[in-house]
Amino acid sequence: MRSEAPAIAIRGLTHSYQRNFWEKRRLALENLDLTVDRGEIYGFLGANGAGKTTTIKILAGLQRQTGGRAEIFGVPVSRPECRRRIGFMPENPYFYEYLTARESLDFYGALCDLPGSERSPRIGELLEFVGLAQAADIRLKEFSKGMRQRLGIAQAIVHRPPLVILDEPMSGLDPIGRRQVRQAILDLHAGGATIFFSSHILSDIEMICHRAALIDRGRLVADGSLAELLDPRELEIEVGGTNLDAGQTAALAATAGRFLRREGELLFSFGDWEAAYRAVDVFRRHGRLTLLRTVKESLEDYFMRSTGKAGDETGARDG
Amino acid sequence: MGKIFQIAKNTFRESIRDKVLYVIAFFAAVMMLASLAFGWISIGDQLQVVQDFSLAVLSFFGALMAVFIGAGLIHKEIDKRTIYTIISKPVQRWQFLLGKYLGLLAVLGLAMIGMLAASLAFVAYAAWTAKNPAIPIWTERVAWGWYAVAMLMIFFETMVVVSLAMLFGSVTSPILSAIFTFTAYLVGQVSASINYMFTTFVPAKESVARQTGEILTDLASQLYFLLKPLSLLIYYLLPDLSYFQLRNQVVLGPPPTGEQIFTGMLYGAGYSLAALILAVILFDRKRF
Repeated sequence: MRSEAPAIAIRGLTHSYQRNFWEKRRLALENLDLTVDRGEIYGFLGANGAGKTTTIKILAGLQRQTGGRAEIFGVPVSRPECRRRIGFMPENPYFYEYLTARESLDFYGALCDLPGSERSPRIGELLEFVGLAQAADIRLKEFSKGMRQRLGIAQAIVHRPPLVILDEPMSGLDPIGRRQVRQAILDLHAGGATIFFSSHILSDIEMICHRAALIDRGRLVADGSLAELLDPRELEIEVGGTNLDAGQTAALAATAGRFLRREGELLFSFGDWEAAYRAVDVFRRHGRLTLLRTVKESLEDYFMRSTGKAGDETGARDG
Repeated sequence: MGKIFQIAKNTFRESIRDKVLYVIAFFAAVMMLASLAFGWISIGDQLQVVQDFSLAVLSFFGALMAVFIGAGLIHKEIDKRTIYTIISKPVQRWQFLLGKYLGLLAVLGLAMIGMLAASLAFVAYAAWTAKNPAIPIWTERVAWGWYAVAMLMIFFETMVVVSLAMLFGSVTSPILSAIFTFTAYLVGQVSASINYMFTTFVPAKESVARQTGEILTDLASQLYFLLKPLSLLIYYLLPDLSYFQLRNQVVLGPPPTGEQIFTGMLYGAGYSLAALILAVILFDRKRF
């Protein structure tokens, strides 16, 4: 194992599969190249069926690639010792429902070769970390989705792995649950772990990732820091205000790209500053200006621009 | 060994909650109870009937438990996705499979001890109500030691059935796996007889026929060229469960020899190991 090896190095990763032997092989991943450096929070972005879960399953040892290679800290993913260095949380993690959170973590700790004497304090620490200390001895069948998700994070990091791989960690959570998981990711990163997580919730990636990759139909579309990926130019200028009469409103709406009336406020979007200044002038002379702001490209805009669609199915089996 | 033990322990906890286990155990107890009635209406020694029937019930219901719980054991892990958090840990797939196997075996062992206790109670009751109560039941009427040996062989038989359930269960659906395993169990009961028929009986019959100039017209002789390789294939692929059928000897005598018991145990362990190795090879190629 090379000491300087990146946390994840994927080169030419290809995966095809056949549902039935009479069916044609389907390509889930095609020649994927990806590097995740140590210490990063890396977002793996793509629509449903783009190949995110397939990539993650290969990294976690649940599937084998049909071509290319994938390494974790310089060790090929096919080698079992590589799994000592990763913590993995699947999408919507499932557990043995008859166990309690404490028993469950004890089981996973034992699978990670954690000695019995270390397991007990570590479990207490983990339950505190994910906010489940109060629910430690409740059977998992009584857990909510958010609680399961947090337990999923706890089982992934029970052996203190330097790389944590999370598949759709915020999927299906309410805003409170999402915030808790986001915070857990940030805390893990602050503790020195490299985080690699997939999501199709763009705002989550935008909020916490250093770098991101976009995958579409099994192929890498782009990767880099958000500053590199997103267009730095203003996409549009929004001007808002009140107290214009119908004629003035209609005149501005005719020159605006978009016009919206919201709770008595008039909102206009312009593609250039000249038109925006004209609107500002109209509001200053005849009404009241309440809003003037520029809108830059969001990750969602970038996603739409790069894939040319909004999350359609590609026919691949996994996400 | 620690990881295998943990997985086995978890499988034990899981399987002990399986309702199927209790349903089958209940029916086993009912059947054993019915053996008392069979004993009373039988013409021969009613005690022998009760013993023979109880051991047969133990064998059959032990196999049923193995089929119904074992066939779905792996599939349930995949279906409920609990396997994701296990295989992604530093656990090898063979450790997972072996842990599941041993865990289920422990549950079945416990269930069989329970059924054995019930069976012993019925046999003791039958012995107590036997025609000559003056003969002490704990010594001469029932060979309790041999009864335990018969039970041990039934456990080895169950071990083989569980290994087949794991083998089929790691590559097919629970329903298909249950069908395959149960078929293998049924064929395994008679495979030795089929093998005997085509390797010894029919050739001997043909030899006699050649000497006497008789022309054999029965189906087995006509299709001998086809049925012999087929029977050999079945015999060597599917388990020969006659190795474990010692109940007639235990009940009626003469008691089984040490060699017979040892060969049976060796065969059971060897067959289970071979089936598990094949299961590991197939399971290793599985994508989740």
